[in-house]
Amino acid sequence: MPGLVSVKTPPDSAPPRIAVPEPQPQQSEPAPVSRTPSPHTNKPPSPSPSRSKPSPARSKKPQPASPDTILADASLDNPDLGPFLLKLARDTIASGEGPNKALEYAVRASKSFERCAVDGEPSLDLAMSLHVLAAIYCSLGRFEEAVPVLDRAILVPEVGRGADHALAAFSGHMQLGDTYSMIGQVDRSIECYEEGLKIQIEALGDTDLRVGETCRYLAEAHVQAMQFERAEELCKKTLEIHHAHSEPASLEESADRRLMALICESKGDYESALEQLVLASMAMIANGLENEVAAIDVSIGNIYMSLCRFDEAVFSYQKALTVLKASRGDNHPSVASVFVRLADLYHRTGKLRESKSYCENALRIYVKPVPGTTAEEISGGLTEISAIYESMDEPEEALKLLQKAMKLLEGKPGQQSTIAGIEARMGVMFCMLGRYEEARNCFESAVTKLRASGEKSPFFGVVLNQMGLACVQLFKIDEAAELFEEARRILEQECGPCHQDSLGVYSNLAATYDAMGRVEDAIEILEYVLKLREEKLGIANPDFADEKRRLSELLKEAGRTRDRKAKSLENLIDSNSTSKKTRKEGTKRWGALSFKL
Amino acid sequence: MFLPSALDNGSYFFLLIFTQHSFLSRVINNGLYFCIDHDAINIEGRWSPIGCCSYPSSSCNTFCLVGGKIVRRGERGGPISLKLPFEICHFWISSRNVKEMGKKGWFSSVKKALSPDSKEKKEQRSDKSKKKWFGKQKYPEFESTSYQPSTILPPLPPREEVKLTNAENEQNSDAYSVPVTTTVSTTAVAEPVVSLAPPTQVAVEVVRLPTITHYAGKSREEVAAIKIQTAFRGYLARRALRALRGLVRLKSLIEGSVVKRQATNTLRCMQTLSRVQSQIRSRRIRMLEENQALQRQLLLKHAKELETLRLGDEWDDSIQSKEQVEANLLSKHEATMRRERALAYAFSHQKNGKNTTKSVNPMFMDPSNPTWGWSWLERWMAARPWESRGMTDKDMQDDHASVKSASRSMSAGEINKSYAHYLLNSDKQSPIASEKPSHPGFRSPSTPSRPASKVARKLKPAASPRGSRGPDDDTKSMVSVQSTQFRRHSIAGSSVRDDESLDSSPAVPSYMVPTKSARAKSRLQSPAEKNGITEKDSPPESAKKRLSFPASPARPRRHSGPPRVDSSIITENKTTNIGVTPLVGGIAVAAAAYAGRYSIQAWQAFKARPPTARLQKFYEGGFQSTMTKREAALILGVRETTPKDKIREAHRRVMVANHPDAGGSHYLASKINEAKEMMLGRTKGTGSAF
Repeated sequence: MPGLVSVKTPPDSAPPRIAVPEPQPQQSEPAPVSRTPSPHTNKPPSPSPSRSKPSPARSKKPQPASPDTILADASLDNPDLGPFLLKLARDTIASGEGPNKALEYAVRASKSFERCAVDGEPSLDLAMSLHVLAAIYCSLGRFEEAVPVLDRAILVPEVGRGADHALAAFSGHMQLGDTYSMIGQVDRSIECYEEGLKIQIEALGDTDLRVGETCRYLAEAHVQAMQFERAEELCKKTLEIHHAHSEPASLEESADRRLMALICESKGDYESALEQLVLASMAMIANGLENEVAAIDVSIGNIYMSLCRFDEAVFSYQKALTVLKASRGDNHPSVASVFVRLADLYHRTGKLRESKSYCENALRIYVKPVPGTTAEEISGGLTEISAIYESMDEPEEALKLLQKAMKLLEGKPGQQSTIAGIEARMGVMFCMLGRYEEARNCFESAVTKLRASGEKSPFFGVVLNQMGLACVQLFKIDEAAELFEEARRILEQECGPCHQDSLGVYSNLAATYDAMGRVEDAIEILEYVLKLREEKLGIANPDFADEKRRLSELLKEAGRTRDRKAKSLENLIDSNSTSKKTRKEGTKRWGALSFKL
Repeated sequence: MFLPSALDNGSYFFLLIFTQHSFLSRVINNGLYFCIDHDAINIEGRWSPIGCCSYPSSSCNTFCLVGGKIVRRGERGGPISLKLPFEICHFWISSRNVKEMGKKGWFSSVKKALSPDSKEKKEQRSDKSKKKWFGKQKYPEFESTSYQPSTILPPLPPREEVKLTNAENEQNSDAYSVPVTTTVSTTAVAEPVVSLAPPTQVAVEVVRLPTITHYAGKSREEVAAIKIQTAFRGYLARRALRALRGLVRLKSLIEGSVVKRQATNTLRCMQTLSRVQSQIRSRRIRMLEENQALQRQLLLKHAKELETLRLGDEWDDSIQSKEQVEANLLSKHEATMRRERALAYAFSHQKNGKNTTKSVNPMFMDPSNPTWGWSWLERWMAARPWESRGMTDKDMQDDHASVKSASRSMSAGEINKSYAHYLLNSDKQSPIASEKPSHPGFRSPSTPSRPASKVARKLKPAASPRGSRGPDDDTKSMVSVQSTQFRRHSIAGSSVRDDESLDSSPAVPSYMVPTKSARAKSRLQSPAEKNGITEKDSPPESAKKRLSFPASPARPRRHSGPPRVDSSIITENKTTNIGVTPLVGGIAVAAAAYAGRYSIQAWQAFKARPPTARLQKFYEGGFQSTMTKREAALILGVRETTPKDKIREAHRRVMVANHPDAGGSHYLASKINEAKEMMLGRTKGTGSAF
């Protein structure tokens, strides 16, 4: 719902169209007053001049000063008042008097429904009016106020009472989820969606098409929260449902496949992503949807590039570019996005000049966007370009672009994680430029946003680690240690201790403990890392030697020696090559022997 | 306190400060500033406090490590004494630019230096003996006492005792001073950072023993206390030194390649993050647009099913006349259309939002997401049995109920519609929208549909068998007239939109759509005489409109528009009239309703047609078995009314192009001849020439 009325619409900017006569017939429509002893004889205010002024104090409660409001309060018990008030709210919005009055009507409508509700009987009307109320709040941009309303709304229906109740409950959960996602609390929104899905599955069965829709939506939400495992699961389910319901190569299926490809790509499973994309592309070709085919071609190109099959990638991009240019014009942002991809590709293949020129072309399009381009699109494009500048070692340029992109996104609801991502990148840029104070500020705000969204993904751990590094540069060792500890916890949980990122955090943390004087802790961590490397990961990594040296220094300082015997590859080979006798002899002094042999 | 004079420009040193003042850390964090008595030195870089010691009852609770490089030093030379802007307990200074000092050696030296016993004795010796302590290292130690005002110039009169603990303060005497309170020792830190320092070795020559201490006259307890004290200081110093070295190691790690790799990794992660976010968003927007079209179909199908169901249900028990049933059907159809239009509104809102580069947040509960949420609620409301029944047959017996249900269905279902309406109204402010003829009452009186709907309204009571409900119906239709006025525009927009998302080959940028329909409408105002012109001067546009015309061509024919409207005009009429159709349907009620319901099939059929079909007027290929005059004219490329000499001329031209002698076909030539004959009125279509 919030999509409908712009959030930026100033609440008081109701166009002065009070005198427009059109609400009049609409109201007379449901009220054949003359014929029935209608409830509407004492009906609440019609948009009379006194009421139609937007009230200066936008209180939730109707103002008791107004006489007809008192009347309305008295008559709230009337069972027909609720529907009428809701209709009034609708009319208010329709007549352009601004959503504030509509809000007032909706509040009263829900009150009326509440009073009229029979005890013990959950009133669907009440739920509905609460949903409407929440939607109006959302459209006003007051998401925080919508949350309690929806919280109440989802308590009203009882799922066991049949399809209607299930529907209302589902609807409420989904709306609540949307509201949460608008205020950036991704984890809670996903919880709500999951709940909604559960209700829907109970009501409609496992294989209903609508369940498929919800699954897909939920999968998308999971992807946004970077929780790819669950997303993949849901996406598979969606695929199954669509497979059961529609013929192969349907549009739904190809949409699912594209989502699946996105998930696979993000997980780094490029081959299966490619497979999914090719299947989707075939479906789109069969349906003759050229633009979609072009969009898929771009994705295919991305994957070819990730697989280092550059020639094929260029081919895909060019194909897409031709179609997009023909169908959308030379200056459409989608064309620009292909430019960006091409620039990236040329950068990777070392053709810097081509890459630069493509970047500039794309930038030109984004700077003067054709009408109909959303700010999100532009900022997305700018961040993509900045990524190329980042890899071209032009952090200033990248920083400028990122700042521009940030400005475009600021104040938009539901963009928190995107903004956090941009801020984290700006932080890294600042680090590269040596402006650590600014870097730390950027990271701090990014981390706050990610924390609010309940982010638990490895990405969050990585950002924490980076922030810790910035803190170290500022000699805020204590703070850095805390950050490293949190990063370690998250990364251990999400990636396991053997992941490259986790190992990096371990080594940072060890060095920090060392600097804090907690030598024992540092030694413990380093020993753990070395053990991991020796036993699981292999010691071919250049980091291994470095860590080993650090450990030996620490041990020397602490006056100890590493009691663990080194199980390096060298050792194993040596032990195999030498006779058992030497081994037996040397067991006690293994550590010393291993190097001599 | 003093710095050795050999600490010259460019040399590095660390300063370890023990203090009981909490503000020390603050001062140091804000930048350590050294006031120098004799010399000015600037010190570059600063390190933060690194820890606390937990010496019970000690007033010394913080030790700070500061360090840096001496950037500039005055020329006087000689030992430097530092004046700190705060009170300190102890300094421990290490200048770091001396290499080669082994750890063990250093430690032992520190130990020695800190152990009072050895010191006691050796302090009384000369410099020489000092050198002996540090025999191997050859780095003398510098010791001094710092007092609370902490500005002490050598030689130092041993006046006061350093306040370490309260207990020890009692033991203060002039004759005694703790020797090792400040230690300036040149050490090497065996770390890579050392390589950063200039490799010049600093030989600290000036070793001053500021006080001559002796234990004479001290009690054993005092001596013990002193020993303990010094031992503790030694411990602290070691710990601090270790921390310092750790810090150096940390620095080296931070500047190493591992961290660089981590930074790039972070970058990559964040790039992935933003790419995934933007892809999901664009995907949702796209799905939204796709769903729009799909949903329209779905809704229509749904409504159709509902109606057939209804029809079957009520067939026997209904006491209504056929007209009534049909009227019900019509009203239901109207409701469906309305619902459909709600989506169209939502959609047109979305387009407008895009135009003004507002943010679009595709959400599940978004009204323009047809799968759930509002449209779902709406469908739910529409599908609730009690309600639709109330809509259909109960409304005759129970007006109250119908009112109720109507208002209820309105309330939930149409609120988004009204949002859309609101937005449409607010479109006025946007520059693009201002040229749209979309406002109610702005242009609609001049469109042909208005009179038609008026007629419909007039006719409707007559068509309805129940005269008593006349006024009611009248208001109803008035309402719908009013609503259709603004609906018209958005339907025009949305039908174009439709083909965009279904064909998904929008040849025209989306922002063009409203203006296009506007143009179409303005052309419509002078329909009859401009037919030819429209056809001629805007072929690409008409082609476009063709695509945007989803319904069957059967429908507009019912419309009492100007005769022989050519197809592009029909399209335009269609786009304008589609909203009014139910009212036009007042004339041909059932037909309109059914046409509306089957328009989807027609749309599908239309989609399946080959693209050439759009030029209906042109000859499609193949000859008719009997040549007509029209065919003949087509063959010759003239009009049917062309004068004879022109026909001859055209015949010659075509014949030259197709002459058998020049490689043309005999059959074609014969056809061309036949066409000429036909046009000249000589034959009456003899069938084939063969």
